[in-house]
Amino acid sequence: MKQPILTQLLKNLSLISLLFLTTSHRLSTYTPSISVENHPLSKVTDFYVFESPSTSSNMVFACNVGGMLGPEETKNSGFQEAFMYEFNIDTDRDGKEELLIQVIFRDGEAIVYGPQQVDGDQEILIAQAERTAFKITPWGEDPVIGYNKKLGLKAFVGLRDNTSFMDYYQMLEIFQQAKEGGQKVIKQFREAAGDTFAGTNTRSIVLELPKNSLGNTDVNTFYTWVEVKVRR
Amino acid sequence: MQEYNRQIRLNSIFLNVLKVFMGSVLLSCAMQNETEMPGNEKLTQKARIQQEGPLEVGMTASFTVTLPESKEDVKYFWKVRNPDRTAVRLSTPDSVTAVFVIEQAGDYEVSVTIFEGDSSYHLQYKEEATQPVYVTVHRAAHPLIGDLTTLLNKSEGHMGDVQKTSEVIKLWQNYAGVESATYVNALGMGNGTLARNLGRGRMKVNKWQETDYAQLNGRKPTDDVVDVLLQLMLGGEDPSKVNIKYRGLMSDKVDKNDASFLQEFPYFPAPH
Repeated sequence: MKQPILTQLLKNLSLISLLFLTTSHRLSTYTPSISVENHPLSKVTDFYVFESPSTSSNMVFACNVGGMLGPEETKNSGFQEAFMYEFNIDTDRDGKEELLIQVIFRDGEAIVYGPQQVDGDQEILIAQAERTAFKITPWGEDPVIGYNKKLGLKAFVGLRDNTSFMDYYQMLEIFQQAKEGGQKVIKQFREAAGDTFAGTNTRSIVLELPKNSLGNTDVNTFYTWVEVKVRR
Repeated sequence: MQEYNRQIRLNSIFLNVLKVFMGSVLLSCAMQNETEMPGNEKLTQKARIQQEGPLEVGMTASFTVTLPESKEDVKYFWKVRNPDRTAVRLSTPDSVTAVFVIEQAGDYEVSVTIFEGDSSYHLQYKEEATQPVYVTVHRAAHPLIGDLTTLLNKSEGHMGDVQKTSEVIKLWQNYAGVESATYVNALGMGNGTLARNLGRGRMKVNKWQETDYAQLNGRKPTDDVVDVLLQLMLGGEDPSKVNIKYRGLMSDKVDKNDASFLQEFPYFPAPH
């Protein structure tokens, strides 16, 4: 039986709309809100996890973002709202995070969510988690520390000295030669080696929290990593 | 019979018109952000609820009553409902401004009762909060491994790649004249175990043992990570007795930071 032209047209339009919606959703799924290629905020240059030097029952998690800022450049640098930094903690060695801490930035403030129990990777804010908001320390000012008494958490976000110390370029140069497999021109690191990162600054996120908040009492060892995420 | 059919047709037309009308009313209600109590044309001349910027999960929302002229003896009482209809706990429900954190995606209902002397009136506002979604662009754990695996084939190796890490280790060993096949380092790790430890994109931490990158147990700011990695890759079971062609490759000769670390939080030195 022949369908009326109007019904056929509507059906076709619906199919086209559905196709468009599906395609646009798929595109948006993989499109960050800003271009992240070579964006300084899209790369963690150093990740530290260590027992607190001032309180042995605490652990410190820290990451540096965006590498080598000269002193002048530092004054105008900071964090952007499109980025989120995640500290992931795997307490049962399954390769997925069971505890998560997220850090975002709004209106000159840093907001820390968690630590919160999660089931694997999260694409969204863990808004149900405990929240700690505090001012991002501006260049040239004393550190502003965010506290969350309920969690025993301390947090800092701001500019710091770049704490990597190494002859970075010589290391890369040697590795480049090793990769090319030709004549071994460099047979050792330089005697009067310079610290490539001396005199430079970076953007830092530092968190300190009680060891007993990092998994149950039977968890002695955990695995951890840091992720940079960008808003779609 | 004809009259009956005519009546049925008229009823059907009437019902269709009614459906279209009701649909339009519902649509226009849904499209309006500001839903107010009956008689609100007069009320909006008295007061308005204002909110700046879009509402977004995780953010602080701030709703303020604005009056056309300043008045004394005005009191407020705010009520806010989450999208799941539970009440939002407000720290200062009797202030001119209601401040709260958006915890859910969906429609928030905000209402305020304004008391002016003996009279009172009520305003309502509805706005949708959205949930931002994030995509991972970088992952980091061990120092330098991402840089070296990236350099290996010009593609990003930071997401955790045991195979690439293994290639990096063997290239260093080959360059320094170390026998890869039988290699064991000071932690008792062969190349496979070392590559798995460094290349999986996660750092192991025993929270009750001393933090020491040389033991691959966390990383503290003073750890000389370049020397540690070079010695784990080239130094064998006892780096002090290692007999390789290029001993000078086992340290980059930079053993501390240019600025001292702090003893108190946040531990990392102030910027230059």
